[in-house]
Amino acid sequence: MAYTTLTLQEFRNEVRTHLGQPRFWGDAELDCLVRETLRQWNLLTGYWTVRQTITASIGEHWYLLSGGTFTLISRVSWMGKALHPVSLAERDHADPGWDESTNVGTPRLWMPVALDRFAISPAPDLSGRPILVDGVSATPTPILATDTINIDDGLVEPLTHYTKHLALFKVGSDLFASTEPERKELWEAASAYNSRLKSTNLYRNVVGKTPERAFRPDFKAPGGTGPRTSE
Amino acid sequence: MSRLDSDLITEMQDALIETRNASSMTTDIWTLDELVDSLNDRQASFLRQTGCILTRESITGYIGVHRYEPASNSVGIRRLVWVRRSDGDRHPVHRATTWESDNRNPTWMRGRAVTRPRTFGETLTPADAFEVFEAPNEVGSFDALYVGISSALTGAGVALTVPDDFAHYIKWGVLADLLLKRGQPEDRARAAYCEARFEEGIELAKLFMTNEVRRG
Repeated sequence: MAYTTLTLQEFRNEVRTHLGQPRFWGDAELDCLVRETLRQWNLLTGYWTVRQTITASIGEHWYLLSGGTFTLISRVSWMGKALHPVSLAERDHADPGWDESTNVGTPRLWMPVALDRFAISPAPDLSGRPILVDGVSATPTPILATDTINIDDGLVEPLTHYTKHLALFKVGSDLFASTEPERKELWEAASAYNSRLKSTNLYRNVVGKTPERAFRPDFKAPGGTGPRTSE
Repeated sequence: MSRLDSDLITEMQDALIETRNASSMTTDIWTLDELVDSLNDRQASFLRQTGCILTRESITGYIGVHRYEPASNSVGIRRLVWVRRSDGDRHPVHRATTWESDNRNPTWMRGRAVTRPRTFGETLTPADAFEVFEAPNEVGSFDALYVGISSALTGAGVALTVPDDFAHYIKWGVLADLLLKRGQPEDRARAAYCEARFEEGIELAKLFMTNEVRRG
């Protein structure tokens, strides 16, 4: 896919052409909405990624990443080998004393604890070795009019349409309601970049049924109780 | 996090067709205090429901003491482990309710200290404390993982605790509150939209926490 670089001002002008009444929105206001659009896009797709190396300590299970760098940790590796992800609850139930300081060895598992914090098990038995963390970075947001936004060519339309949807919120009424398809357009575009998104209820709530799902029979319980039967 | 409460207030003033002003609202429809109160509520609600930012702290446990308070303002304990000082053994402390403990052992509050705490519950007063239903009989510590809020928002440029990329969902939550205010500002259609956006943020953050929406 071809790549394009737009300045914040060019992006803003593109939004203005969609809005029609350019004087109702100030530059600073539209800039905020452009930044919100980019953040939304990054949340839906993990478009901007980051890699950070942190230094392991002997016997240390818990690690905190530097503030604001990561939006999501997606992969942790130790000495070139990817660790297997499990949940903290799973680990606690499987081995309640897993984070005792004596529980050291070659790390095999990692657990997401918060968006900027993770744990590994067992704790490293070597100090000073790198733990490589990959994830979705905090969205790079343009501040100055000349700051650039690097995106795929085909994304300019859905992103500017979504910004228009946000801008029309303050107008309200039917005009705002009529831009709901432009919000769906962003989610549909995002699903091409993140196939897992389509399998979430959240996606179906926003976009509606996918074509594949529309063919499935709609099961309804008669009277709201009892076994479910197909009509 | 680098996003400030004043940034969100400015964006909300834009969305409500108010003039950008850090110290007051131009019209008398809403007050700045209403915005700030709602900001605090929505941020706490978002963090409590998602657990996306957690604080880890070691809290000293004393013989016979039931009630403990984390250093940072806690809005929900996510994980509690009792660490025995004598040998460093770690034991999970499970969540229970006061009702369960009262019915299991009505004298738990004046009961003798037991080997180690097994269950805990969050207290209503003070709201950010927790109590263990079996007080320890030896000194140790609690390894607590909780939702902590670093500082209350005032509207004067305090950094949000919510990650930057999720901050706009707090804005939608506050707008939902403001647009439900009785009288002239009431706009149920847009308030419903804003509430749905806030819920969307919570769902998205939960998916992030479980790694279910990783790019694939």
